[in-house]
Amino acid sequence: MSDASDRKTSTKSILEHEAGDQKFFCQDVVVLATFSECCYKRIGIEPALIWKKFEYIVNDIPSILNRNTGATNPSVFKRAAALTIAFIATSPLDQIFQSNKFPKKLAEIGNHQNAIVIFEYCRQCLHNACYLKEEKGKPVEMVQLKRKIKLSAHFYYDMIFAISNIKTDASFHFLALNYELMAYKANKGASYPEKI
Amino acid sequence: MNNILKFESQPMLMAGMQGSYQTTKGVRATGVNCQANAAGIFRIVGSLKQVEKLACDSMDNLIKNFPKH
Repeated sequence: MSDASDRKTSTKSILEHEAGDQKFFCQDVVVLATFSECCYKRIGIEPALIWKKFEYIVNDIPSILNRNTGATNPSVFKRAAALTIAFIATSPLDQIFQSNKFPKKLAEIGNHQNAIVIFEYCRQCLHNACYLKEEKGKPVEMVQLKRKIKLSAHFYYDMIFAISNIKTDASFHFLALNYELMAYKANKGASYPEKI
Repeated sequence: MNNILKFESQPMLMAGMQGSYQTTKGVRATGVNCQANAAGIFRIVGSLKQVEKLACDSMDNLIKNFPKH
């Protein structure tokens, strides 16, 4: 993905506020922690989350983006990849999803709790995300990803397994492409014309 | 963007950088119009009630649609 494609797939409101802004930094931490907390509670587990770990995650994201892309306004897919990598690198959630309510097969994956929470978070974020399609350098259409990413159980398992095994940000670009492909698959017409 | 959350001045948040995060009950924003989207670094835009709902939806979807065994 080039810088040009980054510009085209950047959410219009994205990066209005960067991590240097303490106010929005706090919101990012709170939203991420709240989402994680509710995932646990929904399956009947009372979590004890550590704030500091969520701060590390939010702090890591700009570094991961800087290391892997020169774009000033990376696409939502690259942001999803950066957040996923930052989350797994820190793995803030220690308690496994050990619950009768939760699918046993998923719970057998090592570090499944972190992989599932961050994948679900990104999937929700990408739902209704929008970006500007361009032709010959000119904006032509604002596209909204109206449909949420849907996957088969097989693919979901493999995706969680792959995410849970991320060790470094070497997988950044493939992960970003994966999010992009999943979003395009769910939203016909969202991608650029497939001519090649 | 300004009405998403009202946590920036919460002493709990600023001081809460140490120790465990047990619950945010009592300090959650409610009644704010919102939608799931990406903004800031990469964040769900909406009230925390909306964030909670999305988390619950995600887990319900897994519980309902992923094979049990």
